[in-house]
Amino acid sequence: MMPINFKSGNKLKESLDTGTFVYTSELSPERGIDISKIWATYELLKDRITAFNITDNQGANMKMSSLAGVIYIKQFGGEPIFQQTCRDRNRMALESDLLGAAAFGVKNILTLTGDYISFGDHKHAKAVYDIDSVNLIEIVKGLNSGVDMNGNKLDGCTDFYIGAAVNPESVPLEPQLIKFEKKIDSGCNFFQTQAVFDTDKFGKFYDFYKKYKDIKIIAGIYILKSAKTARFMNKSIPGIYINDRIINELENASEPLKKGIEIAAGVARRLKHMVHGIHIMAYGIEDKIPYFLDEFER
Amino acid sequence: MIVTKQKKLDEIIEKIKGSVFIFGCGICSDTSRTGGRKEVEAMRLILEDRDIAVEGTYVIDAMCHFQKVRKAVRDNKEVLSNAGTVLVLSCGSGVQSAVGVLPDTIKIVSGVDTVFLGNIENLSSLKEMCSLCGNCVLNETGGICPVTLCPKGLLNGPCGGMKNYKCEIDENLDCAWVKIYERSIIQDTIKDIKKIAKPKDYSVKKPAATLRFTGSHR
Repeated sequence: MMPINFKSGNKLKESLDTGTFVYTSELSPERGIDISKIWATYELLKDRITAFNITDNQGANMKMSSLAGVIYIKQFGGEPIFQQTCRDRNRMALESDLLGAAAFGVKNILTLTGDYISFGDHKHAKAVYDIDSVNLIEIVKGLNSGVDMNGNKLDGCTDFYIGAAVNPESVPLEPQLIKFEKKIDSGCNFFQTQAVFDTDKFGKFYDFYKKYKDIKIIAGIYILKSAKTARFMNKSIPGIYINDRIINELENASEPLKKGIEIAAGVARRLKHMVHGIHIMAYGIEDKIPYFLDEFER
Repeated sequence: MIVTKQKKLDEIIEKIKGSVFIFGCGICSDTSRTGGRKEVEAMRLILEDRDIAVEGTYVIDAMCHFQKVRKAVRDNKEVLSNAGTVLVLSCGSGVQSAVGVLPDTIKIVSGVDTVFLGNIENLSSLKEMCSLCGNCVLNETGGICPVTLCPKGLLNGPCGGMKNYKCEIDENLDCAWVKIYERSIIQDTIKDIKKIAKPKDYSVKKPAATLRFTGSHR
């Protein structure tokens, strides 16, 4: 008997299937092999977060691989979501890493295009984008049914719960919705959205997707710590739209971080009836997520 | 046309040994203003100013054309034989025509970097609109190329980084997929972009060494 013992089941899928509101968040590997920060954040949040996304060279910055990250989360006893971008690996490398993750018992995948190479710390690298996120979903669906993308039979197939991203505040929205539907047609099971700041705009997206009863939507909630962060994100983070009202509220607050938590909780509360869960992003202030959750659940 | 830009002068001079013969190209390098008559003459003056003897110059009307390069070499045989280095102010294809035609003993130096296949808006604005991918998708994308105009070459719609109609990498750059969407509305071809595009077939393109075009006239 091989000495392998990974917990079976899939906490994220089971929660969503049974109508339990889910909480996801992100753990970002370091530029190096030290996993103590991931472990500390995981320990702090594990009782309140359903599943953890492990980012893949986030913002095009070179970090320890998300594949190693998800294996660690499995070893900790947690439920990881394996983020894979199409930026750094060709179709063969993506398939091979997916099989590797599945062999370690990883059940959730988030398929992403990936921020462009020029945003990060390896600006001279070749951007790959051999396939796109829609093709990646099709590939994962194939691996789940026991074949690779060329129809070659697998020796043991995967059992991935397939996720993708969508930007509900995209302007214009229509091209984004066409891609959203392609992702559903390709076999996507759940979506984690880009950070939402305008719930009216999200409402329009909701009106569009509510017909897809089987698709689970997890809304992105970003905890802003200051007006400066908000302005920086508007300028530098792809696809983010933070309106002036929020920036002014943060600017005029005596305790901006507290205000940021209140704003995020307010957005999450207004979205709650439209979504199946929230994805909490709190870069550098992950220790504030429990306060956010208290405020949200209050 | 093939867009080229001149290499740094010091990088060129560093590679030159002995006296020089300069070839230019009368088509693309002329339009790029890197290797037409004017630029070849300017290069001659610059090199002479640095005490590098220039044996002769010649602008071939298409340096990618082996037969034309062969003829130019024949016509300049004597002067060429005096040169220690042949400097080519043409795209990488033209440089390799010279390498293929001239004896292996002659040192050939490229004076330009080859950048892209360009459309000419005007002589100060050359735009890349086709990547020569060998597997054209224009009939599916309203005649606008996402392989080239989307930095990620996405075939199934915009990425999440598109913001206010613009590309995530440059707020002055239109999102190719927004353009494709808008044109598909006008053309009533939205159904084309709603179809899932399969991954590109790179086997049509590579390995380059095995690629031979035998004409489509048969």
